[in-house]
Amino acid sequence: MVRLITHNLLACHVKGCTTNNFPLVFQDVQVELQEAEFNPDFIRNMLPRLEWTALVNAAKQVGDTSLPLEQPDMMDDELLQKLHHALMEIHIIEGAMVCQNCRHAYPISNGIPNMLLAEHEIG
Amino acid sequence: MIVFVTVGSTRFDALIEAAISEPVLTTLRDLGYARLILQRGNSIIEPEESNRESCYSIQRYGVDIEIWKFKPSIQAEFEQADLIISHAGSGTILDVLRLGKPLVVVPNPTLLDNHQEELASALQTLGHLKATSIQNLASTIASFEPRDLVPFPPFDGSKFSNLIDEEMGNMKPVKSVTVVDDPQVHEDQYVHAVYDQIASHFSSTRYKVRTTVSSNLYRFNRALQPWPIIAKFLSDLPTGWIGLDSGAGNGKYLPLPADRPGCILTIGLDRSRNLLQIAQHAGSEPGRLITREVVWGDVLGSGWRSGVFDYAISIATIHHLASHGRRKLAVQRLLQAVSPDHGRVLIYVWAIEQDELSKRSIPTSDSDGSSPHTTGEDVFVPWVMSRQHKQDTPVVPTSVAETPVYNRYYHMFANGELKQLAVQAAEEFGLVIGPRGNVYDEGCRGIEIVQEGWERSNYYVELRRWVS
Repeated sequence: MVRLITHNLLACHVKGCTTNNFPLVFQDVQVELQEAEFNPDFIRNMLPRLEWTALVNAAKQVGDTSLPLEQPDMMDDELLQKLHHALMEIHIIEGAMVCQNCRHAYPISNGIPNMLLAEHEIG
Repeated sequence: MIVFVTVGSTRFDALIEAAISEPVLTTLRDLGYARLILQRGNSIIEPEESNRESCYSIQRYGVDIEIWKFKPSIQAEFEQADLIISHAGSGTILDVLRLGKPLVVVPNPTLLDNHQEELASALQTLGHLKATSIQNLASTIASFEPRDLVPFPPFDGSKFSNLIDEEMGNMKPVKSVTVVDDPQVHEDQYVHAVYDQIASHFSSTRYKVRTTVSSNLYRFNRALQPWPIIAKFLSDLPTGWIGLDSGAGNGKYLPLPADRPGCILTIGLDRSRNLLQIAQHAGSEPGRLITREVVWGDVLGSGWRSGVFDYAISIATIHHLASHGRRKLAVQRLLQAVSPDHGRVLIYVWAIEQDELSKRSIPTSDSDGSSPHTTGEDVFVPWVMSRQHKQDTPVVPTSVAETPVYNRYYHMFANGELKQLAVQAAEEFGLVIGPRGNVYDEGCRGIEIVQEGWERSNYYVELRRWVS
């Protein structure tokens, strides 16, 4: 599945595409909501790994505008809940993720993103 | 109404032939099915010219028929169809039942041991689908009452994704092989294609074991419990860590640690999309669907922000790469994926030294047996889809009753070879080997070998990155 938590880790890896290769931009996505168990400790501890701005923008692309533009210093329970929803409960089922730099499109089908490259594209 | 017929990616000529035969088509037409969409996979249709095109249409007995080799979005076909007729592949069955669509399955009698038949009849007993044979397909469709089917529970992952791996069945002695092709071509043929072919067989093997093997045998199966070192590695990770399972297969490690589920997140990467479809719901229980993060990709790829993961595991994967250079690159991809500051890496590969529970016997390439293994062995491990030993009703042999044997390529590691590979990979990656000490300049990057050893026919090594 592609959730925003995974999207925030993925980067384009086409040969020579090393700048502006993150974040990938969603295109023609179908989204499905699926409840997940809320684990505030997981969210709080995991957060430093994420690129906040990329997360806020990606959430907007899939219709979630609940996150503040700037990462707040204090993580209250309400914000952790919002993050949990954005990161763990929005599933991108179909569509693609496109590199802003080289325009390579990584398709998503049945919830599985295809990050395979053709041989000549491998760096 | 629309009927969708699929044999997945398998070859099942008899079902394809039956689906477009007069008795079946006229039955369908009389029931109001005007369209039949058919995915033949690798099946052959007479006349032979028909197979050249990936998609074409015909009309027979008042039914419009579309024949595809592979339908691009099979899920969409399931969704739009009013009836699905399928081989008894477990992946297909699961997908269809989860959508709540009426399903008639025809186990392939040439694949038998017969896992497909067992799966089909078990689910028929529970009332979730209708199982039949080629000969009875038309009459089954005619008498089929979709309303009588019992809705499938949301997802019973335990039935399909129990932690048993392939070793349970159908192992034959391995044989030596020399990689003569381009390594990548070799892997495509002897690793990727094979896993996609046998993925559904994996899950039906697991199903069979789950339902029919006695608990006594369970204890003997070394694969049933997560391997202690892997389980402990994952269990020791702090809450909030994110990791990569590079070569996740059916996803057996994605739900771990069992004692603190959801405290870490492991993302599964694999080359086999069919296996990923199983991995996607690894660890789900009846009435409780759990979705895992899975990515279709290559272990030699690097589609991540560098160093973004806290940990990476590579279990029984690197041994499928067909050259030393590619195995080294795979290790470097793991080192690159994890945090320079604290990233942990655990790698398992098959060892030449196999334990007594293993069903494999390993050839030695040197005839006098004097020289010890130092560089490992390239071997094929056959996966046999054995055919049915007895058939209850004599059937007209509609397809050649071959026993397909899929050779999977492995590089079996010699003692010390994995550590050497890791050291070499790390050094070329610019890392100092050894524990973090005070002797290094600030900013120096290194890797510590935390543990290494042999466990149950595998060599393993655990690495930790550090910055001084």
